[in-house]
Amino acid sequence: MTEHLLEVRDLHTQFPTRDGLVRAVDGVSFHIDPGETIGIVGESGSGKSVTVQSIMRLLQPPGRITGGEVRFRGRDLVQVSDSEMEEIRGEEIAMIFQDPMTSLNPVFRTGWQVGEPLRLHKGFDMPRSIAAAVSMLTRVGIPEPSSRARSFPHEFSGGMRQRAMIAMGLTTSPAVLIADEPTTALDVTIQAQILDLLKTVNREFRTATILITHNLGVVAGMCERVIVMYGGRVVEQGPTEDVFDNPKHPYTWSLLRSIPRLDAEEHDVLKAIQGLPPDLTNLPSGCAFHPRCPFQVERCPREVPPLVAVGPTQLAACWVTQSGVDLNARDAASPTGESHRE
Amino acid sequence: MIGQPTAEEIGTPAAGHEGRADRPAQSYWSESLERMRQNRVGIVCGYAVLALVVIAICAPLLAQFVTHVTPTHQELDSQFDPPNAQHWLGADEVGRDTLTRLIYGSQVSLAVGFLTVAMQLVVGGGVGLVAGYFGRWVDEVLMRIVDVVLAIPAIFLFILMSILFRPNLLTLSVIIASVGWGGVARLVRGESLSIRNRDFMLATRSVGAGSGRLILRHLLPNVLPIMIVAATLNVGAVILAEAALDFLGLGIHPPTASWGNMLSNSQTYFTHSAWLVVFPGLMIFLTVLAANLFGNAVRDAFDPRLKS
Amino acid sequence: MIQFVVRRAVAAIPVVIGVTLFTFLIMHSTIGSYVPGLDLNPNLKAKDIEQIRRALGLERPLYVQYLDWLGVAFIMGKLGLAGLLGGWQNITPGLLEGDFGHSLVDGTSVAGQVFDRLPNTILLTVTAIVIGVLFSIPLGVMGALRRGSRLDNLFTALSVGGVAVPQFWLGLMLILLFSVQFQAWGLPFLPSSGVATPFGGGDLLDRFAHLLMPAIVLSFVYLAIWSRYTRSSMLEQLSQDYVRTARAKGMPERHVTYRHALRNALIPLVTLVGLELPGLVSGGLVVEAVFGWPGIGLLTYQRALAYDFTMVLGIVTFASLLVVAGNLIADLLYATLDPRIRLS
Repeated sequence: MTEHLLEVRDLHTQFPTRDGLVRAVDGVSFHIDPGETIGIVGESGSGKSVTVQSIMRLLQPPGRITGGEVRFRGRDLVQVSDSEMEEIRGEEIAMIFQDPMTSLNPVFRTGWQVGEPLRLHKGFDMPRSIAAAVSMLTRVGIPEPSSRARSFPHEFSGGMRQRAMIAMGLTTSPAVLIADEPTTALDVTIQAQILDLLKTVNREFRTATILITHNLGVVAGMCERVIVMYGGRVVEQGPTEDVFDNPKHPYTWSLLRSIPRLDAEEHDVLKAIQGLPPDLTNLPSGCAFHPRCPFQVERCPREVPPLVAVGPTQLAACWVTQSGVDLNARDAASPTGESHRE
Repeated sequence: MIGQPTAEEIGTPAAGHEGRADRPAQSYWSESLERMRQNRVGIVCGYAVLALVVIAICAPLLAQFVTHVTPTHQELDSQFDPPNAQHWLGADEVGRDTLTRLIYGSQVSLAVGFLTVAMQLVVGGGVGLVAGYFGRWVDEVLMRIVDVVLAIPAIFLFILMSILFRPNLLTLSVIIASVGWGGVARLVRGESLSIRNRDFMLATRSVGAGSGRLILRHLLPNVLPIMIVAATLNVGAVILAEAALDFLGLGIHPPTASWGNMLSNSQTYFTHSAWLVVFPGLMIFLTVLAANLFGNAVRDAFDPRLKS
Repeated sequence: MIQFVVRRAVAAIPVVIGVTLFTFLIMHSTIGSYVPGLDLNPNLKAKDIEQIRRALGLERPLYVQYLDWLGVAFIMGKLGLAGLLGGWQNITPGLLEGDFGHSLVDGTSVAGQVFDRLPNTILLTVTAIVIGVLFSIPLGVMGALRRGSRLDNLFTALSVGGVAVPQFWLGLMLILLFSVQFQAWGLPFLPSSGVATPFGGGDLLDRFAHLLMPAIVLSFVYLAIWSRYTRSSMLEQLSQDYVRTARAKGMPERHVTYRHALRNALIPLVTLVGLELPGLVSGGLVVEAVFGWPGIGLLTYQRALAYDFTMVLGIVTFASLLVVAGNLIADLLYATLDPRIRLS
């Protein structure tokens, strides 16, 4: 079997809290290859952000990786020393964050910050790093880059700051770019521009991109493969097209039904998912989604379903679909219709 | 189908609003008290201050039954007695019992401490509420006055005032309060400004409540937590300032015993009778420490701005 | 930036007027009615009192006296506008000309006395502030980085204690230990008062020995407050998103702490230190009194005990104007350091 660029195997990350142990990431596995874009989707608290923070080893204390491996270029990132990890961060794996307003240091000029990874990792001196920062700012579409490089972050708009963040991530030509909800804090029109930029970057630099989002529309336009997380576990995974056309997990199915579609017929009603996201300190037994699941069968609360192949390309962790039920076929006799009366 | 939810929308918020109006208030106080109770250090310090208040009030009883001398009783054969069985904490240059004088001294410190803070709250709170409620030029004028008061260095103002008025407990409190009210006023004004424009204030005004009623019945209860926090945090600082003035000979004068003037007095003799300077200072230190720690606990528990 | 400066300067004007009006009114009421012993002295006849009042210019209308005290009247006189003042004579230079009045007791000029003492006071307070800054920042950063450790708890206890300890008592205790007891034990000991040993002292070492104790006592409160502040400011910065960004760039932790977080944490601290600038003159009064340090504080204190109203009022006016100026400087400092303010 060929080695993937980055492969996460059975990752476990836990947060001891006063209310009990939170298994924020509970046995997550996936991989990504050069030039690929994958999406990790889920509600807040599903463990998607903690997963990538674990890969980067940027967990907030008291969070701790308690098991699993992160294979990257022949090394296990869970095991490497702090100083080795520092060299990988920013040089080989870069990350951009949700809120560009607060993610840049307010007291340093933007060019200084964008060029910093080059000074840290490539031994550039100040003028060279700034020059490289300026050319990178040009490539991410910032007008008048040489004067903008001398500006402070607060003089940038939100979209411009996110562009600067992306430029900062790309200066060292990393193999992997992790984008943690990069558009959530931005206006809708700006969102589209940033996503376009990420797509361009992915094509031009062949940077493998992991996109974290709760927005399925973003995934549809951007990602070749999608990973759906719920309650700290992967519940479904597969090529975006297949997953969207034919979801194999009721959670994915519900998510898809909760987004407005232009081609929807008039009488179709948007279906919100019933119930609340799970309490992480006290996850439901068996399949964590079962209290909200309209397809629940007797086995669901008792046993955790394994993530197994369901169909030719997809993996899903669901007792219902593993028994051969087609979720789309049950669309008409929607069990969620009950939620109307509530 | 369309009519139904709308009716609910009209019904629910109104009902919910009424419930909400006093439920958070109640849970706010009980929640804060609960947080307070969990702060062990703060509680202990609160009891220490309380114990000192009891001691100050019972000073005559303690003098009669415990130390058996009055604070001004002079025993010439006990001059500069170090701590011993008769004078537990020693005696001063005319044979007065240090412990008895310390006990009486607590009356001065605590009386000035509490009196001053009370005045700061009334004046500062009043000015802050009025400025915050009316805004515009009223706010502008009052806040400029506060700026002026706070621009004059406190210690100079104290000195100036104490040579203008001959200090006793009351005037000394007025003198110290004349500076401290400015800070309280700023705080209360800021909070009032933010509360003034909330919906419930507009709603109350719209049913025809007058300004006086709005300020006292609606604004005041909302800024009360912040005032309580400011008050408890100020007690320690006031006690320190009072002691400093006494020490400089600009506050309470002997023969009335105060911790500050005992220290000032002992300055002359402390080369050979160190206890005379150690104990009064220790009393000031411990009292202020207890008051500050209690104040911190109150702030942590009650300050609405600290809540996330 | 310029706009910001101008705005702050304009906002300070009413405060300056308020302060001078306040001191003027106090002065007026005291000289007018309460020159000590004036009303009580049986040798003074009503006519004599009237003459004294006239000599002090008290028969003029209040606004003329105020403008005279401010020094505006003097300038108006120079500009040939004296007619606007109703033809009153007796106009002397005032605050604007640097004349803060004269002592009621010995007639010396307030400004002269203040400038005599100013170097001593500034030496003391600046030393204390420098000690405070040099020690509080490392202590605060250490506390933040090792939050909850035994060291951190120790610092917390020390700073809570540092705020509660009366300066004058701390001063006396240090004198007791380092001057009195060290002398008794035959150890080298520190002088307990003054700026230098009279007759023969005054070299650098001698002056340093005199400065040491008062400066340490004065720095104690600064240390207590600023180290707390650095700690909480540092903790706040370390939890910011940009710190995570810095880590994600692969920056060594040392760099993250000292280059990115500390720089942001120090900005508010600078204002806090800046706010002590006005305290340059008044902050050390109690310490000056304990250590017999001949600065402005001691001057004020001694003159107050002698009921020298005009001197005390002159000093208060001077110090208050310094406060206003100091606040302005603190604002500017903040603005230069924080790019968000500098450019908006």
